[in-house]
Amino acid sequence: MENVSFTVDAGIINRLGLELVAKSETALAELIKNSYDADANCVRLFFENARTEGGNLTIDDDGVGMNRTNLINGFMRLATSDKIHNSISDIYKRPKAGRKGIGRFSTQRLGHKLVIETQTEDEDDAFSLTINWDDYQTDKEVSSIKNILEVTDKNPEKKKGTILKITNLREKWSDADIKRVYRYVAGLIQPNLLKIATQGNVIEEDKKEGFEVEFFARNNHSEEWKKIADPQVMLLNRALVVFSGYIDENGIGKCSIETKDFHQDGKKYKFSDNIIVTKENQPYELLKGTELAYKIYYFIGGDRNLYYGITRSELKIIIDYLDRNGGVKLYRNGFRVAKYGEVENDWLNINKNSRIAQGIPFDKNRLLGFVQLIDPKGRVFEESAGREGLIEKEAFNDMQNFASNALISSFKNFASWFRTTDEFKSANPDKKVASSSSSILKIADDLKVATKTLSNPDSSDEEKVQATITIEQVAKKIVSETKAAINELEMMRVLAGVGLTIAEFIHEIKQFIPSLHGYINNLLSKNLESEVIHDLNKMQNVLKSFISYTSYFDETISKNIIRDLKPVDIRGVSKEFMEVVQLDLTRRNIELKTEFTGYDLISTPMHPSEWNTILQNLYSNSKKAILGSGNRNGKMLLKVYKNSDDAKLILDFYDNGTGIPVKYQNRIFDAFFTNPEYNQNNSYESQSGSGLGLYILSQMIKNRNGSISIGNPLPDYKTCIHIELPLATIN
Amino acid sequence: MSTKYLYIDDEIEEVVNGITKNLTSDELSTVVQRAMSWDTEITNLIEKRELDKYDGLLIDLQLKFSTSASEQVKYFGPDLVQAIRTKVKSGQINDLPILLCSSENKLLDLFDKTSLDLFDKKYDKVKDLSNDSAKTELISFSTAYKKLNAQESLQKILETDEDLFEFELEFNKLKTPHEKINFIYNQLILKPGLVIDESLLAIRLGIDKDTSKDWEEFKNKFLIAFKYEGILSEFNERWWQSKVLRWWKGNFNTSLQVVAASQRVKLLKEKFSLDGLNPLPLPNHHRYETFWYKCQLSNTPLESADGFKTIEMPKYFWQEYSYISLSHIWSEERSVAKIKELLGNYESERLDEIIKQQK
Repeated sequence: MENVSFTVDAGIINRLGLELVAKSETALAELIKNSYDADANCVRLFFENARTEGGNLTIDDDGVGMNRTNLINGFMRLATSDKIHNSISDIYKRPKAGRKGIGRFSTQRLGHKLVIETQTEDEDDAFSLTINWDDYQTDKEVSSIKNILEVTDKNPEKKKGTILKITNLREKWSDADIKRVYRYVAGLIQPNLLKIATQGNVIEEDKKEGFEVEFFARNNHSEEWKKIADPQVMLLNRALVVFSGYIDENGIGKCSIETKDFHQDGKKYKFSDNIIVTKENQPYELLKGTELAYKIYYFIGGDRNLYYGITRSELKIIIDYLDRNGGVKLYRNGFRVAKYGEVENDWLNINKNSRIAQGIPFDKNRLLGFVQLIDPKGRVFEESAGREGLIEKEAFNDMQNFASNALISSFKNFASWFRTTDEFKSANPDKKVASSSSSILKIADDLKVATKTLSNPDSSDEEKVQATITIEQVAKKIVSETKAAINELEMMRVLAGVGLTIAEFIHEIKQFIPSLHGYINNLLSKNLESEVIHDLNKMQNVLKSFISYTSYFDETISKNIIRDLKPVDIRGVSKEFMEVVQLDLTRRNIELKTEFTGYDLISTPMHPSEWNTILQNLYSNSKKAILGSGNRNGKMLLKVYKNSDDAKLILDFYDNGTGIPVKYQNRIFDAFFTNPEYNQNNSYESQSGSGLGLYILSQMIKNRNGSISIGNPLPDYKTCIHIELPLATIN
Repeated sequence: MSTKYLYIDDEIEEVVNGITKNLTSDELSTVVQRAMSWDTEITNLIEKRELDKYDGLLIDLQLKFSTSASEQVKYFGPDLVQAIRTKVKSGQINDLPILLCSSENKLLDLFDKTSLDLFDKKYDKVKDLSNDSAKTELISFSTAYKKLNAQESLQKILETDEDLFEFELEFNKLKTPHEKINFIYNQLILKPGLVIDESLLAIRLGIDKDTSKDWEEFKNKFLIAFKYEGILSEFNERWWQSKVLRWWKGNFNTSLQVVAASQRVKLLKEKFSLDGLNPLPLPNHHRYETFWYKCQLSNTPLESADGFKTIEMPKYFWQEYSYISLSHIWSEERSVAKIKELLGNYESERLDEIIKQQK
C-alpha cells in the first residue's frame, strides 16, 4: 500500500488567474476592495507608462497591513481565506467587499510581476515579497517555485499599509479604462465624518472614518502625477449643491448652502447662503449638548448632464450609483445605524416633499449624505440588547425634525436661486420659440467648432470632453427647436385649412345675402301688421351687420391673394375696419374712438390682410374682455402715432374690460392661452377664444421686426396692448 | 306699361327668386331664366328674337351651373353680351339695356375693360341689388333705351333747350342707342361741366349745405328750374351749370366766379330772405374764398389757385379739370401715395417741397 497525494502543476496559477478574473477592470477593483477590507482610509493607484502594454501599477493603501504570518498563511496559501472566518473588518466593522481568495490572482491577471511591500502598526519590521508570475510554468510542481520574502525597514512616512507594485502590465490602461474601474468601487466610498468646531461655527471633514480612492497616471518619469479618476471629483464634486449644518450649543440649527459654479447672464456664479432652522421658533432643547451635523450632496437626475459639465455616460455612472446607494444615512458615535436612509427608508420625509420645488426633482435617490450624531450618553438613542439595538427616544424626533426641516428649507432656498441660472433656463426654456434663422446659424457654428476640436489631434482630453458635451447639447437643441417648429407648422397648417374653409364659406354665403334681402324687402312692401314689420326691420338690421362682417372677411381674403408686401397706411385700414364694426359697436353699446397723430402713419411693407388680422384680433379680444367684465358702457380707444424720433409706428389699443391680471401678463402671447378671468362670465361669447389670436398676432408682428406687449392703460381703461412696428421708409 | 327685365343667372331658383323680389314692383317685373348652354341661349335670345320681348337684360358674370346634365353651361356673361351687341348693330334685334351683376367683384379684373363697356352698368349683387335704387335704375335705363330706339332728338333726350353744339357734334358720331346712352352717362352726367351735382352746386353758390338748414328749401324752390331732366336723371340729380350762371348774373349782375363765398351767401340771403344759409369757411392753408371746385380726395371746396391740378384731364372741352386742395395736402390724414397717383411730374415736385416742410 502506498500513500499518494495530489500534486499541483504550477500552470494552474495562471489558469486560475485568467478564469477567475475575466476582466482587468474587475481585477483592479478587487484589489481596491482588499484595501477597503483592510480598513484603509485611502487607496492611491499610480499608473506609470500604462497607456501601452508593459507599464507599471502601484497600489498604495493605509490599511492594517500584513505581518509575516498573514503573508505566508494568508496570501501565499491558495484557496483559503481569512474572509470566510472574518466577514466584518476589525476596526471599522466594514462588511468585507472582496471575494475570497481572488486578490492574488487579480495581481497575476494584471501584470507579470508583483512586489508586495507591507507593514503593520504593531510589528517593527516591514516585509517585501516578490512574485514573478512567469515562473509558474506548466510541467513544474507548484511548490517547487520559490518567491523571495525579504524583511525590510519600515517606511517612516506611513504607520501601516500595503503597497502592491505590479510591473510589466499585461494590458494597456487608458484614462477611460481607469475611470471604468471607479464604477466598480464607487459603492465602497464612505463619506468622511464631520468634526464640529465648537467655537468657529464650522464643520470640517474628519478623514478618520472615510474611504477614498484616488487614481493617478503619468507617462514618463519626469512628468507630474496627474489625477485621473478621483471619486471626489467624479461624484461628490459634481453635486449641484452641498447642504451642511449642525446644531449649535444653544440648540439652534445653523445651515449652509453652497452650489457648484453656475452662470447668470453669462457670468460664472457660485451661490452660497446660510439659514437658521429652529423648532417652531424655539431652540431644539433636547438636542443641546449633542454633536449633531449633516452633510448632504444633491444631484439632479435624468439626462441633464449640461448642469454638470460632464458627458452623459459620466452622469450615468453617478446616477446608477445613486440609484443603488443614494439617501441620507445616519451615523451614531462614528458607526452607521442601519435602516436609516436605506433604499426603503425615508426617515427625513424627502419623498413626501418631492414637489416642493416644482420641476426641480427632490428625491432621496438624488441625495447622498449623512446625518451624524455624537451622543455618548445615549440621550437620543438608547442602546438595547437587540442587534438593531437602538430605541428612538423623544430627542430622536427632534433630530429627525431638524434634519428634515433643514434639508427641505435649504433645498427650497437653493431651488429658487437655481431657477435664475443660465443653465436652468437653457434646460427649461420658458417658451418654445420656433427656430429662427439666427438660432440655426448659431447651432451650425457650435457644431463646426466642436467637430474641429474633436478632429484636431492637438486638442486636450479636456477640450474633447467639452466638445462632446457641446455636441450633445446642440443635438438636444436641434431636436427641441425642430419639434417646436414642427408643432408650429402643424398648427399653421390647421389654421390655413380653417382660413380656406372660411374663404369658401364666405363665398358661398354671399350668394344668399341679396336673396334674403329681397325676400325681406318684399314682405316689408306688403302692408303687414306692425309687429311683423317691426320684426322684419330687425331682421333687416341683423342682415346689415352680417353683410358688413362678410364683406370685411371677403376683403381680407381677397387681399390674401396679393402676395406682395406693401407699406400700409394705418389710417386707411383703420377706417375700413371702423366701418365694418360700427354696427356691432352700436348693438353692444361699445364706443370705439380713434386718435391718429402725425403725417404718414405708414407701416413697413406688410400683407394688407395682416392689418385686418391685427385690428380684428385686438377688437375681438377687447370686446370679449368688455363683455366678460359685464361693463355696460364698453370703451375702446385706438391710438396710432409715431415714437419721438419718428422711427417707429406705435399702435395702442385700449379697452375698459376685465383687464389682464399681472400673473397672466407674460403668458397672453403664448399659444392656446386664454385669460381665465373671462370665463367667470358664463356667456358663450366671452369664452369663445381659441387662445391663438394674440399668439398669431405676436408672431406676425415679430416677423415684421415689430413688438407687441402690454402697455400702461390710460385712466378709464383697464388694458392696453402696445404694438410697435417699423415705419415705412421714404422710398 | 310695366318694365320687364330678363335675368339670367346660374344660381338655384330659391336664391335667385329672392334677388328678383327686390327687383319687382308695380312698374318693374323680372323674369328669371336659369342659364342654358351657349347655343341654346344664342338661338333663343337672338335668332328667335326672344330678347325683343324684354325691356332689359340683367346677367350674372359667371355662368357655370345648369339645370340639367344635357345643358353644358360654362361661359361668362360678357361673352354672351358681346354676341348680343353685335346683332344689335347689324339690326337683327332691338337694342336694350344690359346690366351686369356679380357677387365676386374681383372676377371683374379678369376682363378687358372694353368688354365691360358692353354693359350699361355693373352691379355688386350684395351691395347694389339689395338697394331700392336698383329698381329705379333698371327702369331708368329701359326708359332711356326706349327714347333712343324711338330716335328722339338730343334736346328731347336731354329734356333741354340749351345749346349743346359741341356735345351734339360728338353725340351724332355715335350709332347705336347703347353707344349714345353710354356717352351721355359717362361723359355728360358723370363728368362735371355741362351739368353739376348737388355738392358742386352748393360750392359754387358758396353755401355750406351741411350746416344750412334752408338749403333744401332753397334748392327745391329756386334752383329746381335748372335741374337736368333728361335720360337717367331718375338716379342722377344734376343741374345745368349754364342755367345757374345765367340766373346768378340776371339776379346780381356779376359773374358768380369772382364773388367770394361769404359775399355769394350774403347776396342770396338778402335776395331770397333765407336766414338758414351759411357760407363755406375758408379751409386751412387756402387763400381764396371764390370756391369753384371740390377736392378730388377730400371734397374740400377750393379755388383752382389753392389746389394741385390732377392728371385727370378733360376728355371733351365741356368737362372740367379736377384738383387736390392744399388743405388736404396739409392735413395729417393725406396719403402721399394717393395724391401722387393723381399728379403729373411738375405738380409732384411741388408736392415734394411741401412734404419736406412737413417733416
